[in-house]
Amino acid sequence: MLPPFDLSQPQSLADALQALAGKGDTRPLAGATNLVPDLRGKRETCRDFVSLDGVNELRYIKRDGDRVTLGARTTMADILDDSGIRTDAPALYAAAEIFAGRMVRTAATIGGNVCCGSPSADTVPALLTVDAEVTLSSVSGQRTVALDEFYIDYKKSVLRSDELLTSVSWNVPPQNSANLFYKLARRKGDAITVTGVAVMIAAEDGVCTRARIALGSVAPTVFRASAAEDLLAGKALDEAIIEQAARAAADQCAPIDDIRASADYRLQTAFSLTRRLLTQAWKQVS
Amino acid sequence: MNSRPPLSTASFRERALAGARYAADIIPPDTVLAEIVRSPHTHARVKRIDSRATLAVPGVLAVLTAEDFEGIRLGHLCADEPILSSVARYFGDGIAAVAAKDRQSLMRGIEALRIDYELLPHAITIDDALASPVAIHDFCADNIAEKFQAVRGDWQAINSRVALWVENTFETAAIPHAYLEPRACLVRVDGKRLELVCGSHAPSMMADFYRPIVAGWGSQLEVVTPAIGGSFGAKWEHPSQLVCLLFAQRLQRDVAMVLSRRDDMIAGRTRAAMRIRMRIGATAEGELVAKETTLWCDNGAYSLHGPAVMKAAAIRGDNLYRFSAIKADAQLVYTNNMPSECFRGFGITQSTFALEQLIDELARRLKLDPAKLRLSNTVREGDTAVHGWKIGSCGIADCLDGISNRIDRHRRDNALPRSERYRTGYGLAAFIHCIGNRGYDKRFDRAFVTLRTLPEGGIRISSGEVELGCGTVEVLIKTVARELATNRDQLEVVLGDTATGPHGMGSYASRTSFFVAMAALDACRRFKRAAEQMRVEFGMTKPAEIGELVARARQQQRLGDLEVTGDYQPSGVVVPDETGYGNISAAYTFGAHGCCVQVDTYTGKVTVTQYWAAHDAGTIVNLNETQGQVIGGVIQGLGFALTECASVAESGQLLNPGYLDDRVPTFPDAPPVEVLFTDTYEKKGPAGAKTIGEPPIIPVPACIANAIRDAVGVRVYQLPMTSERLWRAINDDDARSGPKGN
Repeated sequence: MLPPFDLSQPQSLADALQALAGKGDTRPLAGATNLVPDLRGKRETCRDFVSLDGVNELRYIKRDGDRVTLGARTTMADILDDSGIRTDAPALYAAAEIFAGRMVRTAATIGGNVCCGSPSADTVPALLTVDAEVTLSSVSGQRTVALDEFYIDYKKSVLRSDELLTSVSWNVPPQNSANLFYKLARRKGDAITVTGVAVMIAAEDGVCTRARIALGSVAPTVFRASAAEDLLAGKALDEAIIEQAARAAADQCAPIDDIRASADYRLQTAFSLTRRLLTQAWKQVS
Repeated sequence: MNSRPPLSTASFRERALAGARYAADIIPPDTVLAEIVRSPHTHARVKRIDSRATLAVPGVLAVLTAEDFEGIRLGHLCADEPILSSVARYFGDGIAAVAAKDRQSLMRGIEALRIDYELLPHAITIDDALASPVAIHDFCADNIAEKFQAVRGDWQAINSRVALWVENTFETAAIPHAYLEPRACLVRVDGKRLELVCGSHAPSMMADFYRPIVAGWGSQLEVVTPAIGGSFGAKWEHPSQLVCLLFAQRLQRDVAMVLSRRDDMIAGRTRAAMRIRMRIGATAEGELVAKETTLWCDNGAYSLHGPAVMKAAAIRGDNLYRFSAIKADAQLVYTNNMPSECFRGFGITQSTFALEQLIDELARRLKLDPAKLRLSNTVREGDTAVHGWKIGSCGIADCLDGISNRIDRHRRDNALPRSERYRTGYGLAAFIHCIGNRGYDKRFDRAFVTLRTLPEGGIRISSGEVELGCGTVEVLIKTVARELATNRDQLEVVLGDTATGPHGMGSYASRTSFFVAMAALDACRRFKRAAEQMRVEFGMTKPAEIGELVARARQQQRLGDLEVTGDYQPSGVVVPDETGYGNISAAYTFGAHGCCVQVDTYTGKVTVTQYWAAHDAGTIVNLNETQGQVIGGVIQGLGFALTECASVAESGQLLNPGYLDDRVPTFPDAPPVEVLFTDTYEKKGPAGAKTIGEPPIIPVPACIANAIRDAVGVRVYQLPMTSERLWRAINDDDARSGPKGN
């Protein structure tokens, strides 16, 4: 049963920011696909919510040259319905495709998925591989933070309680690039990720010009395997170097045992999936 | 209350179009709400319950505890489950119950209840329970609820014939029934009469069982069955119903309880987990000779159908093959887990996981085709099987041929290159099943169908059997419309209403369609006889329109003379002896499944890329619904095989009481399933028909396991065969050497 809670329903962004500014423990509510189960399961203690349902100005997909910006209220279904995301951020599109189930996809938002801070949030590894940035707004102004610097620890981020994440943006990947995402889970629909891997490889003249590797569900936060990325940049990739990079990525993992999988399995699959995705990506660009 | 018209049962179509009304839909807004307060401990004695603060909460009407149900126990086979318990025997055991006028008061009342526990050591594994000095029930010091043994054939003689034994130990997991509709019930009160409205697959049997209890309170009981949102063996007697009945009787007000998904999953029921050590012996030419089974069945805290499920698992699947000698030794063990209950396949789903893998392994060792090995060993029409089943129509050969052909063609047309990463394999498994079980209830195995001509026109077909989504309504309408040459729209079906319809045993043992159709045929014969008699009496000339006759009967207030009840009891069936020997069923169903799997060796992930299910269900009455049941059973089996399990912490707490982490397959997980039916005519059945019901789930885990073995050379002997377990097996060199002899 849902506990009683307060809900304000602002119809504009300005009103929503105002509602968040006033009080202490007030939290925004978008698709509520995590929040409602958490309230029912008594994992969520907040009892004062600001609904973003009426804040339609946060629901958009915009393009400005190479820059793509998603309003925070954009749903997974919106991402899949858009004609361009598949090429503007292929890994994000892939993540949205296998995100939960159809019902959840019509409600769950990109802002909500980023802000929940869960290590298994599927859009986050994908967004990290395109160097996404997030805009955080409050009544006192707004700031832009690299998504890579957004998370501090398990379900903790730099977002202040009076701030609202209002948009996510990134530059369209270079021409000759591959951007892939793989979700290992216990079933195909409505599944929580056991190991999530996203990679981006760009190449020019047979050399890797940019490498991004991000892993989900294998540490307290989603993270970029920066040591592995450094190994790849500027080199012509082969089996040995890919294996080395995958090993470096796995070394950066700090997984736990839970009811979905053991830490050991997560670690091993983080390695083999990273190796596989890098191999596939390199094949596409070389 | 008597003026309330019976609830007509929703057809398949109405259910699909969201027109069906379930128990929770029927609860009027001002109904008193009840909830059970459940133990947060796995094994604990209740020292004290202080309900003063609860009763002081405005809106709270009453509190019940174990004392209110003194001497009342649930369980046909072993009456061991209290309605509310003074000892918590599993995490979620019901300790007290609160009734209140609304949900808010109810929640506050529950929060105010103080229960002091004295913790007891718990045992959540079979081994711990057998080794534990702590008895889970006072009357059972060794925690062994029941034992079963059967020995048949000449074991001296077989030793010289067996050239090869294959043996292994298999484990199956406890899983919830995972129906969509959580348990819900509504009790309506009319003076001394209580009416229990709840989804149940056996409403008359519930009434039989509850009536003496309710009579002890000075009341009478009727049971009404609204639409049922899935049962799979779980939904019938449950403490929640007796709690509502007693509240209603005491308060003289209507009372309802709808379990939350969490409560439904921690205190519903599960499939019994089993450990099965099995070996089969064959001649060098591949003739199956002997089978020996040692089985431990996790009963959970209370018995329900545990003893019968254990026995079925120990021997029933043997009837498929012409074994000369059988040994079975089984134990039903009390543990501090959620009570286990019958679940589609009744234990045979568990043991088929073992038997059909050993048959497959035997074929590998003897270098024989697995389909051919089975073909040369299965029972045929006219056989008396090893446990006394008399085999009538038998389409197993066609099923095995059909699957074998599909696999061969698929292998030829999809010659996939074997990569280091992905491996492809094919698997096959078979089964036999019953249609009703004379041994289930010592009294009888029978069904009744009543035809009542209504004053406003049309005929009401009523039966104590129910519609679980298996097409009972459609079977009845089709049968009666055909036999009486009436329009379907003249027919109304009311099922599972003990006040207005005849007795019914319920939907178990894959019996319903067969039994109700036979009883409906008998009812139609009787109806035609009564109508003919009346026609002669009225001096009407032949051929009289049925409508005309009914009009006359109505005029003369003689409609009652057209009310008939048809009856069906199979002939030639017996209650099996204590070793499980005897012909329990009028006819038997058969089938074989095949599948193609792709294994990702990097992660152990199994993708079933194609599935084939061949069934001998006799003449098919409703093709769409029968196909639907087969596909549903296959997908349900896929969950049992690969992903589902009740994850229980060492503390005994269920860690996944919801569908997010109880991994029932979703639509994207469903493989393409091709369904094949044999052209079999069962002469004892209604127009040649048999049934479908349970069978589609039975061979699925073994079928997938055999395909995995074919793909990667290893087996996971434990359900669910998760990616992680398979990945470990692939990376464990010992596992590659084949089945171990432990």
